Amino acid sequence: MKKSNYLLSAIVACSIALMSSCSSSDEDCHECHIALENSDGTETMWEISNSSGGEDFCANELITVEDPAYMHTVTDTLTSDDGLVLLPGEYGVSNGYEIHCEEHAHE
Amino acid sequence: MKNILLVSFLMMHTFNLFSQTKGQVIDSNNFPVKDVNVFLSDQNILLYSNNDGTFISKQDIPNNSYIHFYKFGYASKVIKYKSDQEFKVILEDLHINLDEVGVVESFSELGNTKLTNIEKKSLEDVFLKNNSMVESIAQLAGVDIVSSGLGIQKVVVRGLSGMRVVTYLNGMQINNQQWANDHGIGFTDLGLGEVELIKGSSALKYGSEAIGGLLYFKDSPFISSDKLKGFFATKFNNSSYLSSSQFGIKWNKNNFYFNLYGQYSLSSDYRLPNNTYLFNSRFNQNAIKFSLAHRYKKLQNIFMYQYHNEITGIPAHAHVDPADVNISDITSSFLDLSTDFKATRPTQFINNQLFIYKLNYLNNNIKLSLHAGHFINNLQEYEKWSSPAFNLTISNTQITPNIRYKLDRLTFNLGSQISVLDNKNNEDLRLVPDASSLNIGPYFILDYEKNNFGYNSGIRYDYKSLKSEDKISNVIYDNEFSNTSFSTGVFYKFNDNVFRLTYSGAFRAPHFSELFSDGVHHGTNRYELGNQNLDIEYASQYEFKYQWSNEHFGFVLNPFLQNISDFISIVPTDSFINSFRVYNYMQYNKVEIKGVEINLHYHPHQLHNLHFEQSYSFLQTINKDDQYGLALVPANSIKTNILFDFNEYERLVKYKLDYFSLFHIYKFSQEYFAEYEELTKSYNLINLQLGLKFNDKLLCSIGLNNLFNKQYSPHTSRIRSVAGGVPNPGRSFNINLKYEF
Repeated sequence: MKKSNYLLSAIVACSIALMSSCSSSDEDCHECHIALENSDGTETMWEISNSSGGEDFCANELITVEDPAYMHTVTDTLTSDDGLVLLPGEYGVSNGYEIHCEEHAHE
Repeated sequence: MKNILLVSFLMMHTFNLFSQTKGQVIDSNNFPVKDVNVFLSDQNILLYSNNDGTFISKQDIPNNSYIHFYKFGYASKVIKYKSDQEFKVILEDLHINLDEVGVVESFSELGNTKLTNIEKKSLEDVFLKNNSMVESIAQLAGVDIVSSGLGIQKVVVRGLSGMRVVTYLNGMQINNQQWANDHGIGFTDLGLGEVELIKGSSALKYGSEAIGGLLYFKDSPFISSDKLKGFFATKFNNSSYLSSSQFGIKWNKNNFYFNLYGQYSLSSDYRLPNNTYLFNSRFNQNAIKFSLAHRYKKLQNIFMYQYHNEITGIPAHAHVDPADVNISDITSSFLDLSTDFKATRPTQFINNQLFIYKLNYLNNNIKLSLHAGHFINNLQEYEKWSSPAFNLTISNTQITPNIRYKLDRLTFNLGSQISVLDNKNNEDLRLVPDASSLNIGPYFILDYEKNNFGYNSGIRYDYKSLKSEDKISNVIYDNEFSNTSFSTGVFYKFNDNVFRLTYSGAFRAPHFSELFSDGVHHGTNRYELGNQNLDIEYASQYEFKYQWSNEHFGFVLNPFLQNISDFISIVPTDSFINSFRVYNYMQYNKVEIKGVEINLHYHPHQLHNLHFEQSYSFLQTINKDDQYGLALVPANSIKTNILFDFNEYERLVKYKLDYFSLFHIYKFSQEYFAEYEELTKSYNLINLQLGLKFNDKLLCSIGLNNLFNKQYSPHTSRIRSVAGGVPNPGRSFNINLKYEF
């Protein structure tokens, strides 16, 4: 019985350790882009920069950029992967664009 | 006073010492049979026979308790215990094992297996022998899966799923926003012993809403043993680098019984046949559960608790029309193991808690039972990182009192199911509004059995009140639905032939999601619009089942016909909101579902250890109100399972070989589909498995799934419509270990 108790304790301890040690925490920083849905059902994306000129949007800046009412100001002309340009200006839901910060599959 | 209590306590235990029940199991040649499972089904306690076939229950078994005797290689038997008769049970040899389709006797929570068409599947070894619990259940005829990888899976029964297939876990109805196909079943196989399945609308005792079918999952029973028993199991699958571990412990001391289980699973994205990985098909599951029982004389109290936590990615997500998606945009050419186990977006965060209290009192011909359960499901669906697209908590309280009374050959069940359900949003952003419902369903069921004949009939009246007052969603709704459901069946046994005919009728009130949805559902890439004019849908089903079996061959033929009127469905429109196509809920006048299921089990007389099982499922759904068919109707299929048991060959046993199995499925093409679906081609799929037995305690299985690396996307795949059909996993191997003590 003693042996069983040790075994029981070991299993419970291992399980607690296993369940608590691998909890993943979401990272706070993510890349974002301006998205435009085309009439043929495809989507065009332009990568955007944060307030410091970097790629990642973090913490409050991420919350702000994901707000449906947010309008992103583009200061320099942007070019999408398929060569389409986006002129400087303000872009957001109100003029048909969306800001997405999802991750994508590795190419 | 203290002394009186002490004396009373000692007397109680002294009494217990002398109130045990002893019995014996023998075979037809009068030899004792060891290791027989002796399941006291009314008490949910399992005993085992020892080397001389005897078994001992530490306490008196009340008269008329059902006891189920079963062991592989023997025809199982259910008896009614009589204390004034010699307790000796004879088990006949049986080399076929068709208990899953009701050829042999077994105890069932859902009713008399002779009178009702109840199918069963043992879940004891699912972790060791299958990829997942749902995939294991889908090996039954007429059962399929809606899925996108191992993370999101739910059951389809004879072409119906979602709200029409009701799930019960240890007597408690599981309400976990099951209306959507991206919301999985909500628990794993952890600690489960068996699942019972009723196809169609015959599940009277457990609710009228199970028009498509009812799945009743039940825990592995308590054990009556002086030794602590348990297991530790772990598995790995190279398709998604899935690693999963489980443990379980069973303990018994005097009148107390205790079971404890835990699980941790982590999976990355699964690999497709072309060696790319479906982005965001990853998931993480944690679960812990325990159950505690106290039994004293004729009274038994059981308390159960279960916690299940899940983080499940929603793969194949796009902001454009799913058919226009390029598959290379949603698949990765490689896995980065440092990042690809972590949650990304869109993702569901799910927390489920289940509390159950059961009280059973058995006295001669009467069994009184009270089941009280409370289930809380919190579902947060994130598309953005900073705030959820919706955050819903659904809590369900259910109370079910029941009286079972036996009078000679008659058994009466009288009871009622009372449930209160509350759907609450925790954020302003919402797809389904705050809403609540109250359901009261009294029922009466009568069973009659005499020799080779049996009859069963039942009636249930349901009253449902449904309310919503949600200022944010601008919904004010107050409506009542009520109707009567019924089921009647007759069986006749002639030699080895069993005939069973059943007729049943049920109805389903519309769900919150069907009435009130108004928003983007990222799990389905749709803008879904509810319809407050929806009314009850009605179903009636005729079912015939013929069974024949002898020692070596079993055959089951099961044709059925179900008519559903005012069938609630979701259909696409030409409108778009925020680039998502708008889908409306509406009702079709009449839908007809008919088909036949056939099961065969054969093994040659010279080779008892070779088992050949095959099932045929043919299903046709006809929408009499529309040129298009119903959505997510599985294609016809032939499922074959060949099992070769090595235990009769000493040479092979020396090399630790236990068994070899081959599972083959042939899916016919599905040419009958809904407006937004398309034709699905036929395919073959083969899985292999080798079982190893290092000793009585350490078991292992090595599996090779999708042997020929077939590229296929089942018609019922949740992501069949994306990019022309995102394929299921390609060839993969898995290794599974289980240590029992």
